[in-house]
Amino acid sequence: MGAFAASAQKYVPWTDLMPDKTVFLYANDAQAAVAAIDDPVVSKNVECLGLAIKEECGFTNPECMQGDLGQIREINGTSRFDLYFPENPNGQMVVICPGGGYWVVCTYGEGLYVAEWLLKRGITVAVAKHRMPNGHWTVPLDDIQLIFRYCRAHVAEWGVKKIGVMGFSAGGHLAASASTLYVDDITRPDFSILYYPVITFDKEEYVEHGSRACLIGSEEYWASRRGMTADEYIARQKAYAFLKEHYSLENRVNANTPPAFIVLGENDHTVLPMNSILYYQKLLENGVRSELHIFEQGSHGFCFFPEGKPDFLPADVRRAINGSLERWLKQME
Amino acid sequence: MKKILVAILAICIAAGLQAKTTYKYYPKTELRPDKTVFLYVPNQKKEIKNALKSIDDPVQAKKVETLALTMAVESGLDEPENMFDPNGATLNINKYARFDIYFPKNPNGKMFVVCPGGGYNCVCHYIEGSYAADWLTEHGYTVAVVKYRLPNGHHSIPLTDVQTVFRYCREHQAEWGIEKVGVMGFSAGGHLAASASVLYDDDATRPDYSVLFYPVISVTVPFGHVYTGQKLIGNYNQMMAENPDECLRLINRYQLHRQVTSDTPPTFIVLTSDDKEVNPLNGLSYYESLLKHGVKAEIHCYQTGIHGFGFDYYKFNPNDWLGAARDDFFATLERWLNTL
Repeated sequence: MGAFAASAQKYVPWTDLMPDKTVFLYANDAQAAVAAIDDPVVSKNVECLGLAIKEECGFTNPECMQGDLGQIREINGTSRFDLYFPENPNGQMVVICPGGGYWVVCTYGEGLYVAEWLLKRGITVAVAKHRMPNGHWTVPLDDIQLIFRYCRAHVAEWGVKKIGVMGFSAGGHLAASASTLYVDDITRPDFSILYYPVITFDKEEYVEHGSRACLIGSEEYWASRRGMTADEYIARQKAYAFLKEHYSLENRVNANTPPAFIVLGENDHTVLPMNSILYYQKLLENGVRSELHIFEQGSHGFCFFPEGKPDFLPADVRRAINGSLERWLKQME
Repeated sequence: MKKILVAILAICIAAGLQAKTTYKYYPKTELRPDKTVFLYVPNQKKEIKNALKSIDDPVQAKKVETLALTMAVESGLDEPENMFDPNGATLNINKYARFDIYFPKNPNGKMFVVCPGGGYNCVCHYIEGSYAADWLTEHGYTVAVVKYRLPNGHHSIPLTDVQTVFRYCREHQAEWGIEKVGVMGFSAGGHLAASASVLYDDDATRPDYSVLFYPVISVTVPFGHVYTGQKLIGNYNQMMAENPDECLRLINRYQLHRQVTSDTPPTFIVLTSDDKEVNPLNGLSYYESLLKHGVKAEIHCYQTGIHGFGFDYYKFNPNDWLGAARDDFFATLERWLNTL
């Protein structure tokens, strides 16, 4: 506990905001769960759902925060989400999927600070600190869908009418997965907000390889044929090709895909802008009215920051992005 | 004596009445250009006077001149000019092709050559011309609104006119204190502005930047605007029967996303996702090409706003199609323009 407290202090968030509630998906014991996290952002009000894990991701180390954007590594049994309730709820809720290449989750820059901004606009927020996939592709989406189920069950109590999903980078891939691979009305987001999202896994020239390797396994892993017959190996190649196609979310868009707000910078050299364009193109082709904003400035991972703090974006670009998002959210009420 | 005076007075009144032509549609802005320049009217007082009478357009400057150029290609549109709707949509612009120059109160050293849209069938020079000039001059831009010749299947005609305007502006740049001249176009005028941006001939005709509103970029299937293409190039079926090589050459030439290079000027594109007239994939494809060639560019696709919102905003129209996104859009455009 002492060691965790010390390491948590290394990365103090730039806001005093704390969640109104922290909900653990799989843990049973609140005290033990809180002790096991490496994260100063946790509510005093803790609930443990004690759900059964559908598929294990295989991480055994405790989670660990390793950067001042609140990057947490190797979340597994401590998978949780933080709930934030606004003073005057406007009926909208957003489930936030922070980014980090499906390797970490940037829980400050792409979680806490986003929550603070949304709260001021009357929007209820859940920040997901979901399990990392470690090559087990169903893992993150399972967690997000559980969060959706929990939130939908509480909408009346919270005064929420619509629940959207918001994701950054690899979290954008997760949010777009939630938007296209939902299993029922409960898990289908009412709208999607995608910040510089990873989208494609099968158009090689645009693929962000780190995220793909973490979600569905690396090229090396799939190329290995040790201990396999020729037919087994051929089947394995087929399985890999299927996963690449399946998790290329532009391929999963249809007329029922929720409307999206997509924003990114042209000079994003980490996740190429073509990812967003491919998704937006499919939304257009399927008649899903949506928004796309590509700014000249703004490289990958520009996050959110509390007002008055150092920012990755020039002030006027930040104003433009926030202004557009705020207006779009009002349109979606 | 008295009789003579009365007669003179009567003649004066009659002349006055005659000069005060009335028009079917007036723009919703009081702003008038500082100068109107005809391209092809012969340089004789009588001809200029006749031209001013013949155009169906109350937007004219007191100061008028003509370049008295000769047309290399004739469109064959002989009917008189006709403005047929309150957007300023004007048919049959031909020998009275012209541009209106507006000087702002506080010039910022930048200029826009504005190409209104209208499917290359007409020129909607109120909502995508005068009103653009109104907004742009307020923001310090010098403006030339081009009332270009309609092609009637003669593809070189509109671009020739826009390039003429560019040459004129470049010649006067120093005199006007202008450092950069960009192009702005709407719909088919967006095709014209994008043509100017990729099919320029020299430094004088190359725009320094482009702003494209819901542009037509492709002139053929699957997502292009075939109507606009055929007004520009000619009837495809007929051409394919007569001279398929030439038809395909021209279609390819005006697939503007294919003509982008790393020298294409920085571009700002604005679209709406519910545009049923010009498929937003037009603007998106152009952006993709700019991206591929490393051209600095921005694209902003709003969820709603349909087709033709131009500068027909709340100042002129209480039912602005862009709705709540209008201020957002103006702020975004202004910010981008300030980076130039």
